Amino acid sequence: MNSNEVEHILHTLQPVPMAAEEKARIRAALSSHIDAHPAPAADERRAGGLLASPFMSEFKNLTFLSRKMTAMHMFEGLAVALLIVLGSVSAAAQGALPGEPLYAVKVNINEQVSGAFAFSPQAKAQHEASLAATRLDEAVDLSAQGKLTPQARAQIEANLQTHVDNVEKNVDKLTSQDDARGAIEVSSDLASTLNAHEQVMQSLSSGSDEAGSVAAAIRLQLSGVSDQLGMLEQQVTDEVSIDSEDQAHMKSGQAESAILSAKDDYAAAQGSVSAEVLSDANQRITSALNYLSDGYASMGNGAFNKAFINFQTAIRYSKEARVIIAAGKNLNIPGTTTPSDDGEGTSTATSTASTTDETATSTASTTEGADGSGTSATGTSATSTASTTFEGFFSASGTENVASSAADALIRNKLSATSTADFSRSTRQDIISNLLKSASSLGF
Amino acid sequence: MKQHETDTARDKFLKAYDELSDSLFSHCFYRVSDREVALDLTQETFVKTWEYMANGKEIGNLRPFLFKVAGNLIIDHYRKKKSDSLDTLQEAGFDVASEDAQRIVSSSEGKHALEALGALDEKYRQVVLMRYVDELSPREIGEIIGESENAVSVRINRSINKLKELLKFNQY
Repeated sequence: MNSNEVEHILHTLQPVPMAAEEKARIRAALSSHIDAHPAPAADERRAGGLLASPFMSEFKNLTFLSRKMTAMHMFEGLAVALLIVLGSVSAAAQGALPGEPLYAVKVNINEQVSGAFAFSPQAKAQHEASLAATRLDEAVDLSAQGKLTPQARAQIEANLQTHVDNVEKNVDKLTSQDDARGAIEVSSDLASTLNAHEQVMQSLSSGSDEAGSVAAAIRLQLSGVSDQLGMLEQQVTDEVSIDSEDQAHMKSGQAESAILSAKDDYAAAQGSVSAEVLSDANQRITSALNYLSDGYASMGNGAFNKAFINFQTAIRYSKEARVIIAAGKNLNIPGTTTPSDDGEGTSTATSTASTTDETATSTASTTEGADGSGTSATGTSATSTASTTFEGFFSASGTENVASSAADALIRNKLSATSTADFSRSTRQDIISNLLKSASSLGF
Repeated sequence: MKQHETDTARDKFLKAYDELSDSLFSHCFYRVSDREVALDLTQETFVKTWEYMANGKEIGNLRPFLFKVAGNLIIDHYRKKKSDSLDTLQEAGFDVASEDAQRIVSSSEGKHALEALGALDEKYRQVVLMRYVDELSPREIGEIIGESENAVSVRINRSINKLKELLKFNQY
């Protein structure tokens, strides 16, 4: 057989098209995603008439632009016009809250449409988890506007229950497909959403019985989700898998980006959210850092499954911090500290940083090698000392500052290194050991 | 043409979807051998690409860019799936026995090609699929996988030689 024959055989492999219905469904999902996340340039165009934008230069190279205008295109034009009208309604509905006219469009059309395109159990579970988060964001928004009526509250609680049930169902399916890691990811995301929103609703409950009721409803869901998560973590810990190390490594990268994002949000939120919110977020980022460090320690000991769970927990805390900060921006809690108070706050933090670091070290060392119950103990004790520890990590002045920016730079370097798909094992080990060194110099 | 200037970025992106989604899907399908997963990957590819552009970033040539995004998502997919890690995939070849894959290839020649493809290393299979099924040029493939046009041609040539041996071995 010569090369030409081989090429001939290869050409017999035809491209596999999508079914028309599959193609249309994904198109609709894409279209609603575009409406929900419009390009800044596209927004201006919608508002200011049909002006050309530099954004469109990106499309100049595409062949489909050179097609000739035909009668068919006029029909397409009409269809597109209709879609734009529908699309605008759907886009406007995206921000609707319970009790508002477009809310039904949001829940019954937008969300159903986007949900119809989640095919795998993981995609379905993630979709449901994001809907649960949306319901809770709505509760926060309504409550902040003083519009959380008993009816709206009941509606939100019922929907929350449904979404959480659906997540759990799909998580079970994932587990039965032997994808406990995928299951953990979704379950952990849901737990972080519930936890963070519980905190926010609880802080609102002094002014509203309804908010207190939502907080209680969230706690109820959370206990079920936590049970499921605990079982999954156990399952992953016991698992014998050939690629545990790769999985743990991948998770470590995700954990680092999650922490950096949370840290960026935290920095950007200074002055625009209340001191309570900052301190809550601070505690969580500190916990995330502790788990990140635990994760590296576990990796160093070859306990890759444990490392995976540590990193996933770090992601969970980072996400909680971000949700709390985002919700805090929408809330104008009376009696918050003004930005000018922050200077003093920071300097106190700096002066106590060294002592707290010691506390953190002792907590971390007790947890090492301990099991689940010990791990949650770190969470709580880290919580009590968190604000100063975190300031010591990232924003305190003095020697810590040098070390912290070094850690920061290390994480960032490592992120760019791993984003090129192939990372060599030795570079990875170097980076990890550097990061561990710098973490220990910071008092871990 | 005037018509072009009045089209919104949104419509253009959806048109790009209409034109390019089938070949993207096909590529994902041959790589992962699972229809549902390939559908998810296709959707995710377009969503990610839109988000990239919505953040104001420039894309020179959309088609190779989409394949690059899809390629990264496929690698992520394998990293996530413990039972199908990239390593096992490379060792064992992709799942030619999958019902989906068997159904779409009717000719016996095609079945042999599919089997031989399954026995190729992932990095060879990727370029062969792009060259012969997706009909991308070596230059475009180079853009996607971050290699020079020359390196791509060499890799394709090696793939053909490997396939030649594999097909000889399974002489039919």
